[in-house]
Amino acid sequence: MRVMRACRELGIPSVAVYSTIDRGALHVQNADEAIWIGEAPPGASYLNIDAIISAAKKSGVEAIHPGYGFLAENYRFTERCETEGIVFIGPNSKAMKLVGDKVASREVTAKAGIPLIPGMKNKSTDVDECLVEAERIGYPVLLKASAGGGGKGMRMAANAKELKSAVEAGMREAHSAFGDPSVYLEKYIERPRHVEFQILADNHGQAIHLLERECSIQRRHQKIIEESPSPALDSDLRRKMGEVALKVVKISGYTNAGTVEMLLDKNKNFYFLEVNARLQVEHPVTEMVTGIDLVHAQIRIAAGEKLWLKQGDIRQNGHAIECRVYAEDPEQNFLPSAGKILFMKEPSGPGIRHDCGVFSGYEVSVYYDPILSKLIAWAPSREICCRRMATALADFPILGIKTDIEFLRAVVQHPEFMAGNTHTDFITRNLAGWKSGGGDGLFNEGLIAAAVYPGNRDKKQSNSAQAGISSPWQQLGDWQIGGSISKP
Amino acid sequence: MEQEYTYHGEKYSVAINPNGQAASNEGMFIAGVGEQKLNFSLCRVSENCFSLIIDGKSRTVYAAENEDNIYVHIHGRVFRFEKIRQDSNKLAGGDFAFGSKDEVATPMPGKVVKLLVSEGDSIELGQPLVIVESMKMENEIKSPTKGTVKSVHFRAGDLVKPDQPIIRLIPEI
Repeated sequence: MRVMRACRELGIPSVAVYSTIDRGALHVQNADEAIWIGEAPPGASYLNIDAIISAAKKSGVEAIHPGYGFLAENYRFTERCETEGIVFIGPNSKAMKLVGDKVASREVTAKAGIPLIPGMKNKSTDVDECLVEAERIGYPVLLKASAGGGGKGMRMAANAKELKSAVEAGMREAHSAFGDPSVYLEKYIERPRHVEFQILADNHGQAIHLLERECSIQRRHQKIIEESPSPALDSDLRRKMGEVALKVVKISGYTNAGTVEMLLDKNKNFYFLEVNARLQVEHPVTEMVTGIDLVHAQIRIAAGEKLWLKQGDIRQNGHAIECRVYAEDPEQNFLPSAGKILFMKEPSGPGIRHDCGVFSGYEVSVYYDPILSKLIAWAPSREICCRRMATALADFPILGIKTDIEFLRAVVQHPEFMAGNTHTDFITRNLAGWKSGGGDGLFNEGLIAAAVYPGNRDKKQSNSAQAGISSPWQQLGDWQIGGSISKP
Repeated sequence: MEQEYTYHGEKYSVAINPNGQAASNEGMFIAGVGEQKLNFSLCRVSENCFSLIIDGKSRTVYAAENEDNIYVHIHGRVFRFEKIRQDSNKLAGGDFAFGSKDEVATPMPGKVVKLLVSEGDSIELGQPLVIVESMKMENEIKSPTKGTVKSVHFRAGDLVKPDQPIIRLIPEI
């Protein structure tokens, strides 16, 4: 959707590919053309390179934008596009292969003197090897999928027993999500902040960064709230981290848009984590504070344009926060929730942007990542931005499935969040065991609302002019009323 | 007449009557919730939206329903009220899926990845019994009780729905 809008703005028609279950999805409804590529399981459709390439040839497209997930960071797909003469809107396959292989990229960056977290030298699919390595690195350790990103397959282990089951489960998840079971281990840094730099590099050796995003608010090691600027950076640290990010881009030969992820510890030491070789889910916060459309930039760079901006042109204007809306249950360890969205209403207002993939009547399937939409708020200051976000989240009904919307509001209204004390353990530290409501006194009102709602069925037939003026008898609809009632 | 709903397993009833004493009786009601009496005014806006003014507080309500539940959104909070059905003894809603002590089921549809116990095994409270993958995420389902595994009804690779028991247990008394 995001990509199609940008294409339309640049006068480029777009073709969507879809799996059977996505026939009614927004990206299919909104494309100029749409081609079916396979059944719902990702292996049969969105991870099926042959099917996608043949769809591209059939429709005669000049370029492919891979979106955020699935094949977006699979260098084999990029290579295939290059061989077939189709422009891939993203990095070149060589750089993608290098940065996608966490072990190889560690070697290259270590040689260049970029600060790194102590970790394993090789990826592994062997539990015993992982146990030996973990002893050397020292517990607690963090297990990651070698081919992955976005927290899939990621697990923390405090001892050998935990590590054994973590490796088994992590390999299965990595295999199912990325088609490669390899995992690797690194030292687990306690209470860090996750700070990343958005970069743009053209095909002619020029690169700039578009400042940072802080993405410390995570659950299941996956980001749910991101913001720019980071409340932890001053201009000196921002400049230093930005320089390191550009150095990573340079030594890896990276092109197009990408993100250099870093961890910032409490003593303001920072460590390079990895390059995300794609447009990220959280890119809108950067767009809001820099005024630069990243998808436009991706397309222009892929078309061979030289960078039209210099580092000095990049200005940070105001503050932006993004909240990821997931179909999940924050009261049950963020367990995904599937089902039909009976009704939803998108929030709006000054400084509010909603990038949304669902609608009233949409069936949330069990096959794909349960993200529904991204709500972005911009304001001149962080304080107003937090309040603006909280207001928008309070006016954002999604009915029929569980979502994290009320939980997200609890985060942005939390005094520790407002104070900028955002670390990756924020949720476990401040909101463990969170329950909906929290003494807001709305229960009786909810009960009354449920009791009067059935009368709204009549609204399907009635027109709005009658809305406020019908008699209580009509308004009660198919209710039965008993007891003694006196009408004045 | 009273309207009854179940919320988190508890039954609640609401009595709604027009407010005969109000200065204007257009859309003015009294709600009886438990011992409390609340005055409110109602204005229906659209099929899924209405405005309430309850004891002076203005609330925009969004609501929708399916066969089993009524969903209500007020000021950032969502309530799911289960309808009480006369035609069935079964509780509406899905809580029985993990509420029961002798049956283990998944709270949402998915694929059985790994069974961690077999028939006849003794188990502890909270012991992981089965791993189910839903939406590319693995979830360990833990035992609701100490006891013994009575029977296992699925194998790794099988698709499973929330109303299907994966494992039956004999709880230790």
